[in-house]
Amino acid sequence: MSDIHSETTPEMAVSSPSANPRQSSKRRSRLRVVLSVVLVILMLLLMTLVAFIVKLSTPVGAPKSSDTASGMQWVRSIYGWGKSEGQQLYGPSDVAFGPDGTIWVNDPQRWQLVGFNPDGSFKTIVHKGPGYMMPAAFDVSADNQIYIADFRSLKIRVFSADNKELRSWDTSLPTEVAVRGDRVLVGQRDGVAVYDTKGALIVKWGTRGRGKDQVDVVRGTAIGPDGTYYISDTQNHRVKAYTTDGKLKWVYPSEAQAKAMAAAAAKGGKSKKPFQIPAGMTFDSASRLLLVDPFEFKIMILDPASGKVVKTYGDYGETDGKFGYPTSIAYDPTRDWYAIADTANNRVQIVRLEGSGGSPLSAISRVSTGPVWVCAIPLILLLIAIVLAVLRRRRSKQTHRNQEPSGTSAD
Amino acid sequence: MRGRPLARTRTNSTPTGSGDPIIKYLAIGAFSVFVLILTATLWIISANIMDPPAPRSYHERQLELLETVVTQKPKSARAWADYARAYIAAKQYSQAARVLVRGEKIIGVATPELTLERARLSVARGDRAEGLKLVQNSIKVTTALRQKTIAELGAKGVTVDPRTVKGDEMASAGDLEGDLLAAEKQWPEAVKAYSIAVYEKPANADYLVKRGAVYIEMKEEKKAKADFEKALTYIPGFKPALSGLERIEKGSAQ
Repeated sequence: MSDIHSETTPEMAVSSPSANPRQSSKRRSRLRVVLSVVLVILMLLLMTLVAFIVKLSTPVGAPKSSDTASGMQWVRSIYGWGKSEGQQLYGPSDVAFGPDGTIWVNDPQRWQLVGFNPDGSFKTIVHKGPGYMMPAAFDVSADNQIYIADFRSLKIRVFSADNKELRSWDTSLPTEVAVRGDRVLVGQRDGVAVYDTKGALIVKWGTRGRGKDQVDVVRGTAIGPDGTYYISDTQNHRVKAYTTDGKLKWVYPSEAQAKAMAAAAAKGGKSKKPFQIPAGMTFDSASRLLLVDPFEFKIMILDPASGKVVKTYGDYGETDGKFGYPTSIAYDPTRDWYAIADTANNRVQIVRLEGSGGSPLSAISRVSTGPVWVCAIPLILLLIAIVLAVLRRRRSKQTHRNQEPSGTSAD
Repeated sequence: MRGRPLARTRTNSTPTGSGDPIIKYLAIGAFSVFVLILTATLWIISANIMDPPAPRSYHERQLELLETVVTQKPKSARAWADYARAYIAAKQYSQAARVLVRGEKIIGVATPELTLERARLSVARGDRAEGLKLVQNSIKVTTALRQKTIAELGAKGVTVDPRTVKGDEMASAGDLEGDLLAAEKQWPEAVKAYSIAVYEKPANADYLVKRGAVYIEMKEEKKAKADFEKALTYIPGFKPALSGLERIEKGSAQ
């Protein structure tokens, strides 16, 4: 944009026909009109393009906020990683987030775990051939290692995200696993066991049964921020919390509470047992304990100090934002969203819930899912162009300053 | 004095107008918008949003499955009708219209199933009168086809009791007609339409509740109560039926 004519000598300016002020003013106004028209056309083109992107990137039939439970916002559903039948999720029963935001889903019918990018596109598969392992449940540690409860060979198997088996150890009838720090909490059909990340047993408790200290299939586990162990005692319809050394902190509903609830229900009161078959659980950034109950078709927020249900979200349905036997829930603090294994609907749903305690920066992480890096290319070009223009302008000013005294001296 | 022309040349500059600040701003603006267009284009290409590799919502999933069905069964009016209905449910009305045209072209005739979906599409687009006309046409054609089939079977010596010839299609058409007539407060006609739906699918609690609600409007509480109670035998604790009974109780109390 530098003014090359500023270096024109007075003689040249006078002798040039274009120096005629009327003519040059006419050309200038013509140029203004042309540039204005070009700018308007480009703006219209940009707006059309943006509208086109919005239309294409919004899934067909995406639910409105009024279609989902109040306080819950649907983000997307993941049905599979391709269009063929063999690439569709089939009864996913567990879900977890990797530290890089990868959405891991188990595909037990095909003996594998499938990893999806945060934008729902396919990333990778962890698989060692048919029949090698039955990934009934799994969790991902902060160092991106995948702990799989292999119900086929009754082992905990640890995999890297690039499908390498790192180690494994034997355990009893594993149905669920949670990892936090250096602790691996394994829920079993007949008890609970805590290991370190290398597989050394730290503490184990419980037998199968209905008593206070017994369990009957643990289908949900979580380790609280303070190290408390939480489990869904699924077939006993209750939730329990244990201290780090395996001592029972609370059970909800307790036997007395369950009896009182049943009696109230029999009398026609509205009180009913809080859980039918409590399953997967997780913690969010607000340190809330979240649970899914497949038979209630709901996400439940529990008080971690008592297990009492504080709030519920969701309802039965096939459309987005509804659930068909949800069995697992996971939370991604970076993007402040939850993934739910919506088992009977053969999908994973990504949703956001109010009061999750997510950082305001999570909005940036959510938006930057997808190939945002490509946007940097033209923006870098624009930046370079601006820098070059500024430098050239400075240089041209400098040249003027240098020329002005010489022009005066020539006078 | 020779310094003056130099100054004049610099400010006026120039045939191309490059010294004009407005032209500069316009050029910078145009260049910036061009860069943004380039950015958006690159994003579209790299994000592959023109053809997502897998469905991202329930409706996309349904549409994909139904596209497969019509490819496998191109002569099935039911398949085309389901496909069009899925587009209507996803509020993709132009696509629904295109599917109906494709279906009619392949099958060669506007079947009652496709006419019913046309009626739904008209209603979804706000043309209730056209919707009502189409749904009534669909019912008429279905009835005529049934009579023809029964007559043909009779000619072959097969006796068919007309009361046993029932179908989802007719029930659905009766339900839609009832909805449209009820919205126009044409209560007796709405009852007649809902009765078609109930006759076709007697165990459908929704149809019973809708007819019951119209009976309330007609002050025929006894018939309304019978419908709500019947609905409750099919779905115990069915909320719309319970609230219908509550309405009757409140009405009689007043």
